[in-house]
Amino acid sequence: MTVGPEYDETQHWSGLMAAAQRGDASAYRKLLEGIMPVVRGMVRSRIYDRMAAEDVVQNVLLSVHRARHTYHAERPFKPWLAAIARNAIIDSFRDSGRRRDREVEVELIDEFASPSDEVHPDERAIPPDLMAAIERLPAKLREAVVLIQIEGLSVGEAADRAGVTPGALKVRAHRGYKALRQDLGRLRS
Amino acid sequence: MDAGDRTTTGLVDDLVRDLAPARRFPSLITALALVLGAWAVGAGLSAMLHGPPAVLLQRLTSDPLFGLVIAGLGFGALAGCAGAISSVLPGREDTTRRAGRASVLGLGLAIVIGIAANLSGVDPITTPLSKDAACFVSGAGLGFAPLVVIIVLERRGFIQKPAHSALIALAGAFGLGALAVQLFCQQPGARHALLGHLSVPVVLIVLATVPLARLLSRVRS
Repeated sequence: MTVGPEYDETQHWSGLMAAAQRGDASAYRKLLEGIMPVVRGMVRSRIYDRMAAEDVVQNVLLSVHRARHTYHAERPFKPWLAAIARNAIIDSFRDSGRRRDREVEVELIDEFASPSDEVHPDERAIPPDLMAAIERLPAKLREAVVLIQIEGLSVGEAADRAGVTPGALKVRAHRGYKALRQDLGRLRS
Repeated sequence: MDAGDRTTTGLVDDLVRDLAPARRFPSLITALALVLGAWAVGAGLSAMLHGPPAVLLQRLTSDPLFGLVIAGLGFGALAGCAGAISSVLPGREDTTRRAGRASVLGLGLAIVIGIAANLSGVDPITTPLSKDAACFVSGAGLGFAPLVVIIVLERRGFIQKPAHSALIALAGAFGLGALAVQLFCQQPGARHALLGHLSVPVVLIVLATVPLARLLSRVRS
């Protein structure tokens, strides 16, 4: 039986992952560096924006890290990795839908700003109605909205500050925007 | 190398620094054995309360429909439990898909036989609704222990589709609950089997899929 180079490579990755599961850091580094170009290829075949694709590559590596205990060395490595990558790509498409929602929220927030607020965005005061609506949010949602929209942190920085994963923070912020939209909508009507 | 690539390399450094030995997720067979073990404890207690296995063997040999319902429930419940566990293991999507279909097929077969037996009047004895309700509660209770084990296993795994994992876990666990009451309940009547036993997975799937999916989403994030 002839053995192809890809077979060798995935066998090698299986061995590296088994060593990583035992805590071998150098094997883990070799594995992550080895799979990175493969993951990048998988992601860039679906997501054409380079920056967005690189975000997804990073999410895949994070997921590999979180899911490493679910890999069994006697099973092929590549389907395991491909499933994680596929999942991250689907999540990114969902997130981009949420971002579109968020852009709508920002427009809504802008509408609530009074004419005197037409100054540099960094210097603009938050309209009282909006601030009151933010205050009424449940604590976790309020924290996510404040960190991203008022303190202007990136999702990663905000997640670190809140002590949750970036995914969880994005979900909380999205729920916060949704609740704000409903609350402000009620006020307007 | 652009800025994004450099950040990714930085992430690799962080992940390597964060590496700790990982306790491996149990094999599918071991995980399934844990779920069945939890079920067997409850089913064993139920057997002690409801009757000796001799009665069960007699029913299995004398009533082919009873045997078919048992086979359908058993097949559907086992497939559901296997599918629920494999749904949190990346790369096992084929197993999950096949197990999900097998679960629908098995539970569906049992329910169709139950409905057909009712419509044809094969076993027309009518039991009071309170007895149907008591068996329903027993079935739900007997499915609860395997459900808890499945949820613990799903939480340890890598939850990819919470709603899917929730649905198939409920089918498996409460399929086992329905199987236990079907095996050991000695109430006669096709209507009782349908309302008290076979409805358990259906009703609980309808009621609990959304809350369980939310719970799984929360533990995932």
